[in-house]
Amino acid sequence: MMSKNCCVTKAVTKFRLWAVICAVILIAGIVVAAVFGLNKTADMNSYSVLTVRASGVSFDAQSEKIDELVTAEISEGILFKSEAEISTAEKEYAYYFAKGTDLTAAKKDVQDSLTKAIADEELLIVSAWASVGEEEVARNTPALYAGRAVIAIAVFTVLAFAYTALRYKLSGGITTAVAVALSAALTFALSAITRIPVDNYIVAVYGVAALFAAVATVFTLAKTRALEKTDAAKEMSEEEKVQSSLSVKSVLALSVAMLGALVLVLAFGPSRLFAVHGMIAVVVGAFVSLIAAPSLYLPLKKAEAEMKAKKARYDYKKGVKVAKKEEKEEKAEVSAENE
Amino acid sequence: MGKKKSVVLMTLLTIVLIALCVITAFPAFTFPWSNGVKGWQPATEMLDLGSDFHGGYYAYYYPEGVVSEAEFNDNYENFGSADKQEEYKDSYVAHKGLYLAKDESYGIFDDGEADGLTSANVSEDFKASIEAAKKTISDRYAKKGFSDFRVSVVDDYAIKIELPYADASAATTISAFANLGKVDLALGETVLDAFSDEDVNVKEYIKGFSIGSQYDYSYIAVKLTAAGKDLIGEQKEGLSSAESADAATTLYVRVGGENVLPIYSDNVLSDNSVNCAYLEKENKVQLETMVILLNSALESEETELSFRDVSSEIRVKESPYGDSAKTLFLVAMGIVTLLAIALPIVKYGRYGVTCAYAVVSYFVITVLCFAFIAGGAYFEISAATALVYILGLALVSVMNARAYNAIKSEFDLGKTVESSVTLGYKKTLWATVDTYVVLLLGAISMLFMTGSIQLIAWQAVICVVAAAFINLLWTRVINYVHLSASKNKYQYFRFVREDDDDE
Repeated sequence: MMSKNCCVTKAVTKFRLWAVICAVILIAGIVVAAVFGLNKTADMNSYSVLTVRASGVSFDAQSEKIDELVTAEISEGILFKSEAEISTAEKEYAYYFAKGTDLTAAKKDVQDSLTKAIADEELLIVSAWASVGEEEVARNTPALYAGRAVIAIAVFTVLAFAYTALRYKLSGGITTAVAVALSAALTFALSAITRIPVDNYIVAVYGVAALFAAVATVFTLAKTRALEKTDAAKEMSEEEKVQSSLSVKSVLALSVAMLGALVLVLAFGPSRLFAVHGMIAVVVGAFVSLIAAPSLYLPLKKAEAEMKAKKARYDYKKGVKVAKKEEKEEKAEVSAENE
Repeated sequence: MGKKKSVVLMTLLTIVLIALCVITAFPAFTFPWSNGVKGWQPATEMLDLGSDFHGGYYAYYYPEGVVSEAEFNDNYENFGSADKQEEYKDSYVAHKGLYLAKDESYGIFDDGEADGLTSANVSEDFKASIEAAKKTISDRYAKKGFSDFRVSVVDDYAIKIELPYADASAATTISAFANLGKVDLALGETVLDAFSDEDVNVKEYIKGFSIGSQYDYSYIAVKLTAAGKDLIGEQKEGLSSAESADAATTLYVRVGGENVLPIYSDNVLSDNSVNCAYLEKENKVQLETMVILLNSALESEETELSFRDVSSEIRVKESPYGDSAKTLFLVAMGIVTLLAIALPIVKYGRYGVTCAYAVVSYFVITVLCFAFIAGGAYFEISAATALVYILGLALVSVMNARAYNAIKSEFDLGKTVESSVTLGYKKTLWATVDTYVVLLLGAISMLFMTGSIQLIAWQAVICVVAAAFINLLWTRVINYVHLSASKNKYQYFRFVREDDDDE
């Protein structure tokens, strides 16, 4: 009763290979994160900023014109920009550059351009002042999350272990716990290695990877248990049982559904970086639950089966010994009575 | 169940589901008349969207004596004569995008009269004050539990705060947290004698502040020491009541000389403890701001630094993705949901219609929960919310598919359709329970987090509980009703069998 998905089923027997691959990725990710840190986005970085404060802005067309004039003077280097309303006729435009960028010349050019446009009545506003400065981030939400994220994943690992160990024996518990921790860790490592910018929601991505891997691993454990209740399982080795229990279709269906939705979020929604990281999380979750975790589950199940067999042999021998002892005692009693 | 009853129940279910879908997602419109009901808004309009969709607020905290370059230029231009402009210019030192006043009363420079003053001569005390203020203000915003915030130091001597749009009282929060003064008690405008000494340790009288609740109201409990209670006891008789409040006979808890918390005679209990500032529970967030400010002021070191009034200079930032981000996002989620409804119908036929009902029910439950659950948290929808919603949606569909496969495998063994359904569901029951229990444990673990991740955890809990209810109970009920009403049970599941010996 082998699964038709031969590549996946064969992969399950190569525990050492996947252990090495995961270890390499994890170590590389940790080293990159330690040396270079994660590639952070706007909220998490410090910047040099060119700000234009304009008074008398009452039409969107004036807003667009101000932006055109500013961007015409700055040839390159804008990481992102924002527009904000201070009051009904006062707006502030901020242009963010990498920290340490010298914006003195750019500021002068922008100011001259705005002053000329106002004087020539090309820009019908009261005043516009450009200034440059540096923003050094002091505190933001992600900085609060790091420690708690580790605690949350650790708590989930322990709880998942406890529940699945109760339901599917120790081997199931260990497999689920490893799947949870490994998926979150691999997603983190890949975020660091690929240098894809991370934003505030990166911690949620790690959580989703862990949840996905846990769910998919439970599919496999449940299927293994259901298989073991059938007569066919008596003829199967542990390897065949695990290979037949891989819920490839379900996990792939779940993965495709989530990847498809993330593509839509990427295309239509905000937080496109989150969508990219979400895709990494889904792929990692599928890999861990279909390949890495089952390849760990197999040797654990074999070890469990061996221990069960040993215990059965021990119980049998113990039973034989007890029976012999009882028989001896009976004989002794009978002979004592006869005497 | 008889066929007629099943058809009636199915019709009722369909009507209820359609009505809920309309409440949830029918596009908003306004009526042409101006009196009475003005229009219609679905639940999706009531979703609080995070800063990804709506932008947010930001403001600058400038210490007294520090002005931005734009403000400096505006003031400079407003002086009529060149002499006054020169005098104004000479009274400041430029530092990056800021101008620092030379006047020693601001404490920025030790010697404002010195020749060749530059920003390198800024006093160490002032720098230390900025550093301390940065920490105090950062701690305040961290405790507020915003889904998303940022505190940064601008040009070394100003502080910039950025908050998400969903905070309806952002202006109050930004203004309140700018207050760096210490806590004291005043009767009207007169500081109580116990607090008039500069070296007084306020914690000898006030231990802290916390929020309490009573019936439909929340209030601030002032935790007093024995000495504090004696002090309140001495003042109690002369206080006005809340109904006939008189500023001169009201006791105020002040921060930096500003009245923050009024205490009336009816706020003082029999043991001289104080519960004040009663507000309806839905306004509890305002009390949270006050409590954070008061506790922070109680704990922080005294400082000479004070920030200028910021209330008129709060910027409203647009979403980086523009106004259409919300619409596009909801369209994307709508497409995903429609696909989840349509695909099972294509694959499974009439059983697919049951799955479609399940998906619609999941959509309705989750959107209504997201729209109407508040409970003091900023229940904002973000891109991460989309992911947990889709995980739940995908699980509902996958579990229904697994149930179908289990039913089919039982049918292939030769059992009747009804037996196959019973046994198929029984086979998949514990696997489904285990999946959702593990997911729920994961979502509960994420509740340890703060801010936006905790929010996402709550949203995950809602999605998981909704999906579990749908798969474990609701789909089975709908399936039972639909199957009972079906003329041909084989066709319902698209099963093929030539003869059926069991019937």
